[in-house]
Formats: sequence, C-alpha cells, structure tokens
Amino acid sequence: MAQRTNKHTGLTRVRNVIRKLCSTPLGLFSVIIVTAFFVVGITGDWIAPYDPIKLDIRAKLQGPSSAHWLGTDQVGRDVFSRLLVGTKVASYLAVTAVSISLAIGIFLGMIAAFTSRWIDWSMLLIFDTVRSFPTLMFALAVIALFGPSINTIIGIVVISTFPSYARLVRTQVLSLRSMEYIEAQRAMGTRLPRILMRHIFPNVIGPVMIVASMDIPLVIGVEAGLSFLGLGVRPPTPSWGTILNDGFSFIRNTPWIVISAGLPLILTTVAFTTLGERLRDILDPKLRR
Amino acid sequence: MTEHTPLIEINDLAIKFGSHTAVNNVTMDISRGRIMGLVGESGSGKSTLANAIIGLLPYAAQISHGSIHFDGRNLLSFTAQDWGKIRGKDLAYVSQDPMSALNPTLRIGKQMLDIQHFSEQSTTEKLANALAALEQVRMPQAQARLSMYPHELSGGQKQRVCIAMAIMARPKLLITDEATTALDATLEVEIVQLLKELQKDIGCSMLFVTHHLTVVEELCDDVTVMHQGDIKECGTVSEVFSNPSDKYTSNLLTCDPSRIEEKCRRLPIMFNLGLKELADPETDRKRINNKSRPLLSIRHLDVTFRKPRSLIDILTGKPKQRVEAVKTASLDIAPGETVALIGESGSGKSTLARAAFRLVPSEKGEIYFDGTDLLSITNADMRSFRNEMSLMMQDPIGSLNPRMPVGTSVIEPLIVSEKASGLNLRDEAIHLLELVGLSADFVDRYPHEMSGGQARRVGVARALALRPKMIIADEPTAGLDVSIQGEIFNLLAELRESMSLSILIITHNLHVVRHLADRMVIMYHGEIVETGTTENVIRAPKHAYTKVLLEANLQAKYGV
Repeated sequence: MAQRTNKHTGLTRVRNVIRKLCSTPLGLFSVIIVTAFFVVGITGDWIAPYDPIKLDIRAKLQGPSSAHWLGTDQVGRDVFSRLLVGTKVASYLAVTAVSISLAIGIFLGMIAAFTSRWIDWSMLLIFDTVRSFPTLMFALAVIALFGPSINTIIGIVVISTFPSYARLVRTQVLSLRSMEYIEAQRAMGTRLPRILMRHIFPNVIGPVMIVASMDIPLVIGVEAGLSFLGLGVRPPTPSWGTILNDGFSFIRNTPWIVISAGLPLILTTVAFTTLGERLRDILDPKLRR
Repeated sequence: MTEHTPLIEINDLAIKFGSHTAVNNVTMDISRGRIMGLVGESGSGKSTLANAIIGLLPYAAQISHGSIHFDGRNLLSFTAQDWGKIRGKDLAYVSQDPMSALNPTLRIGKQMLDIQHFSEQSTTEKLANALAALEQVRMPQAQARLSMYPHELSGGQKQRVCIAMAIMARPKLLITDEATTALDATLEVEIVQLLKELQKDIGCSMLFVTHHLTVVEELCDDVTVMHQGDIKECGTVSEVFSNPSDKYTSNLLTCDPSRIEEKCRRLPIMFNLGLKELADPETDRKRINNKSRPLLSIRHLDVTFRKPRSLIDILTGKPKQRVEAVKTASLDIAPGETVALIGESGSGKSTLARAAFRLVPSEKGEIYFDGTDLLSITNADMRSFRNEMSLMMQDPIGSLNPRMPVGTSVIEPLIVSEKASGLNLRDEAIHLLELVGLSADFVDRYPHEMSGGQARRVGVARALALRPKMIIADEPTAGLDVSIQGEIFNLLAELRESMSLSILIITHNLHVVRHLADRMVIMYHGEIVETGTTENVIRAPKHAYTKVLLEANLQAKYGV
C-alpha cells in the first residue's frame, strides 16, 4: 500500500521535473532534440527513404534536391538516409556504453566506500590509473589489439568513463554514510544490502545520472572521431563519423555532406549538455525551493 | 544627528517572499547605547528583519513598503557602494554558526586584516588592531591565535573571533543573529557576559536576535516580541517580562520551562496553558520498577577512537593517535525509569549511546540489556535486541531518509526486523503517526515538507514502531521552539506512562530534563562525574563541573 503511493508521488515528481525542464526555451530545445535523437535512433531503418548502403555511381556527389534532401556522397548513396540510419549507431552506443559504465561505476563506487580503507585505497589507485590514460592513445591501442568494431568502441568508452562515476559515487556514499538517517538504520539493525539499495542508492543516483547525461555527447563524439579516422564502425555501415569521413575528402566542392553530419553532432552535444545542466539545477535540493 | 533620536528607526516596514508576508508593517526603534532583544519562534520573521537592517535580504525577498533609517539616513535607498561604506564599519553582524562564519582556508590574522580593507593604516597597524580586538574579547594567547586556522579553535573561541571582527571598527550597531544558540550552556553564559561588557566599553547599540528568553532577560535592556511577522510587544525587559501586556508574550513566558520552578508532569504549551500538571512523586515511584534488575546496565565502559593514519604516517612509523571518548563509564537504568545524561558537547555522551547500539566499537567493559551482555554476542543475536531498544538521533529531519515518504520511514523498523508480514503497513504507519499526534495525511509527506517539531514526532513514532522497552533520545528538544519543546516533552511523558518505557535522554539543556528525568547523570570529558536523583543533583551538586553547569543553566533564582 505504502509502496503504491510511493510510486505515485515518484511519477508526479517526474512529471514536475519534465514540466520545469520545458519551461525555459533552452530546456525545451534540449528535450526536443534528445527525444528526436532517440526516436530517430530507434526508427531510423524504417523512415529512411533510400537504402543507406545502396550504390548509385551515376548519381554521385549531387547537391540537395527534392529527391535527395541532403544530396548524395561520392558513390551515390543518399546522405539523408545514411544520417537517419547512422543515428542508430550513435544512440545505441550512447545508451549501452553509458549504462554499462554507470552500472560498473556505481557498483564499484559503493563497494569502495563501504569496505576497509585498504581496499578503498587500492580501488582508488586503479580508478586513477585508468583515468590517467589519454583516451585516444588508449583507444588506438585497444583497436590495434581487437580490431575496429562497435563493441570495441563500447569497451573503450566504458573503461575510460567508469572510474569517474565510481569516484563520484564513492564520495557521495562516503558523505551519506555518516548521515544520521543511515546511522538510525544501522541502530535498528538494517543489513548492509538493504541500507545500500533502499537508503543510499536513491540518494546517489540523481547526481550520477546528471553526469551521465553530460557524458552521452562525449561517447557520440568518440565514436564519430574514431569512425572519422577509419577505426570505428566498419564501412559501409553508416554512422555520423563515417559520413563525416566520406564528406571530408570533398569538403571543397560538396560541403553539405560534412555539414549534414556535423550539425546533428553539434546539436545533440549541446542538447545533452544543456539537459544535464538543467536537470542538475532542477534536482539539486539546495536550489529547489 | 542629535543624541536623542534613535539609532535605527523602522517605520511601517513590510517584507514579502512571493505571496508570503515575512515581516508585516513593523515599526520599531533601537535607541543609542542600548541592547534590544528580538525574540520569537522560528519563522516569526526576526532574522528577516535583522537582515533587512544590514541590507542582506535574500533575492526572493521584496520590501513592499516602509522605511529603515540608520542615524538619519534611509537604508532602503542605499546602493552597493553605500553599503560597502557602512557595513563592517558602522553596522556589524555576528551570525549564528561560528563554524561556518570563518573561512576555513585562511588564518585568523589574515581574515582580521581583510575586514579592515576600508582603513588606510599599514599592515603592521592593522595587525595591532586585530591583536587588540582579540584581547578585548578575552581570547587567551591572542598573539598565537592570529597565525592559527579556524579549525584549531573551539566553538566558543571561534565565536569570540567573530565578535572581535565585528567590534574592531567600533560599530554604532552590532547585530547578532542567534549568536549563542549553537553553544553549550556554559559557553553561552561566557559569551553573553562578554557581549554585555563590550557593549558597555564601546557604547554601541545592539540588536540581539534569539529565541532564548533567559538570555534576553540576562543581557538586554529592551525587548521586542515577534510572532508571524507582527510585533506583539515592545518595551523594556523588566516591564515586558514582569508584566506582559500581550497574550502571546505572556503565553511564551508561561511556556518557558526554565520559568517553571516546580517539577511538572505535563508542561503548558502555547495553545493550551491549562495542560500544566505538576509531577506526583507517588505515580513516579509506581512507574519505576526498582526491584528487578536494571534494564540497561553499562559497566566500566571504555570507548576509544583511533585516528586513521595516512600512508606517510605509516611509512614514517608515526604511532596511532587515540582519543578516549568514554572512560570507565557505569550507568544503570531501571525499567520504566527516565534518566538524563547531561554534559557539554564533546563530553562523550552521544558516543556512550552509540556504543550501547554497537554503532561504535567499545574497548573494554560490559553493556547488559535485560541481563545479556551486548558486547559479547554476535551481530545476528544483537539484531533481536535492536528491536527492544530504539535510538532517536539528534537532527529530527536529518535522521529521516529525504527520498522516503514519512509513512515508509516509520514502518522501516518493522520491515527490517521481519515483523511486517501479515500487517497492513499503511494502516500501521497511520496508527503510529496518530500515536504521536500526527494526522493520517502525514503518511505521504516527505521529510523536507515538515517542520522540526513534526519531524521529531515522526522520529518518536519510528522509535516506537517495535514497541521497545527503552528509548535513547539524543537531544530530543534541541533546535525546537519553547512551545514545541513542551509538546515533545509531554509526548515522551505520556508515552512512558502508557507503554512503561525506559528513557535515556542525552542533552545539555537542563531546563527541560529537570521536569522529565527521575535521575541525572553528569558526564564531563568522557567520565561520569556525578549521578543522583534530579532533586538531589539540583539541590546539592557535588562535582565542580555540575555546579558550573547548574549555575549557567538555571541561575541563582531557583535556589541552586
């Protein structure tokens, strides 16, 4: 019974947050872009007007027209279709890489905060070591070992981002651990898993989610960067990075290819970052009235 | 300006936060060279008024009409530059929390230099000023303090530094907002004495904002009583305190437990003065079961904290630092008895309570609960004892999970101890909340949607969820207004009779426990220095610290 009311108020709270998000032009913009990003990511295959990998050499490097909204590339593929389908790669990466990284980071962070100081210190040392690798060098090394694929990119992103989540969670848990309500739970004999899940996790997840939403553009950027270097998604699979790469060679005569892949990249980056910042402002209890 | 006009003239001032009126058409004067006490319950608008005088209202606040004149100048027309010229010079402010009022990364001397930015003196001269100010606030070893950081000073010393900084420019008006509230009773007396002397030396006016009536009586010349944004009464202290003309003021005075000489079974509260009921020694005797063995018996308990060593400390072979928080403490509580554990902050009284719940490890000694030594059993066995004793934490709101509705928090002990099966949890939560006088709709509220007094009631409800034999309450009335203190007091008094509870109250506020406790245990620097029945301890204290404490708390008028 009490559970149900709990969920109910949780739902109204989510609705309130969304309403507040949409109340400013920038917030509304970010909500629209982020929603569009995921909708296109899921439906891209079906709404694309052309087959994104079908070659048509006769129609190469055409400018934007009513038939090809964003023109065609050097082998005559429809750029608009490639962009829509490429969004799938971007959104798939963003969701999987960030959620795997989050899960690992939260788990390790909580463990670090609740075990002996020696384990805590060793884990911190590992986190910091991993974090100190330059992402690009690390990525090149990993790709040299395992070959370029979308799973390799996910692995690279997970390994290079989970330490920052783990550190964030650890600090949050450490400060929560000495709160009186946690001590009150210990006094009444609550077991550690329950304290972690019911009393610490809900109070930690907010700030972590906000950092995560700001990390999503980073992930998309890494994929685009690696694909641009030819180390990401295998051609001919379309992704924003491969489209950029294709267009880059012809930037002088046919700039629309680079623009049509670059613009969504910039827009989603700005939208996710704004969303994260707005969320932080709305959810931070100190800023809440 | 002539010497006869008031220093501060507030005329028909109204301050609003959105649609909420915080200060409602206030007219008030502060005379030159006098100390004005501003009293009221939390939310009465007294801090808002004080902030308006020094121009530090939050952005959300709006002054809808009225005026504030300082020395004949209209403060409401001041620009940022104008404020810069008089703040810290003519107007000085001492805030409530000395811990956060000082910059933790700067030395005291540096901070005292910075505050003299308006002066054109050389650094050496400014340092001399700082030293003189520290000496003026009776800071021991003033010279050495200049090169110390705030964390190296005690709470009382930090407040002295804050006051020294405020008086350094010899202000015309010194505003203190609850400047003694965060301090122990003994320190409070010291600071009040200091303020009184300083005011005489400098000849400034003072606005002393507080909710503590006794301090006002001790320190102030005039007093203004505020309630819900209105001024209820204004006059000299002797007039107002001996013969209040307003109903609210007289109720406030009647409810102050320090003004009730006799031991009470029920304290009067703001809305029901008739509730007052004197204690009856006969019922008290019946309630306590002295014949059987004590419910809780702590024997020669030692609690020692070891400061964790850093890697460098370990490598250089630095020995572990030990802090003895509790030293060979012994304490008995009979079934049905109420014992007050009294001591200043840092005396180890909270640690003693935490040790009883095995929240901190004990070094030596035994803790018997109902005949079982809690320190020699396993964690699993300990769990069943956790159902029979409850710990109420100090901070009423902070001891509740901020993301959990109150109804869920209250039944948490039932779920944790696996006694929830077969119960309608929502009904159980409502029942518990009604037991402590809260209505059923509190079930869905969140901690931040409640007042301190309501959250404290929720804490009591949660402590009672498993029908324990004993409650240990850490500062149950700290930070609450006088009338709400009374309500919580009455609630505990009622519950111990209806549920035959043993209660251990940890506090430094003698005013309230004097009425509630059967016995007092005084703790000083980790040791229990005195135990005895409440009457005996108050009438004939043995230990020197007890005497100081009683003097600070109760003052001579109650025949201590």
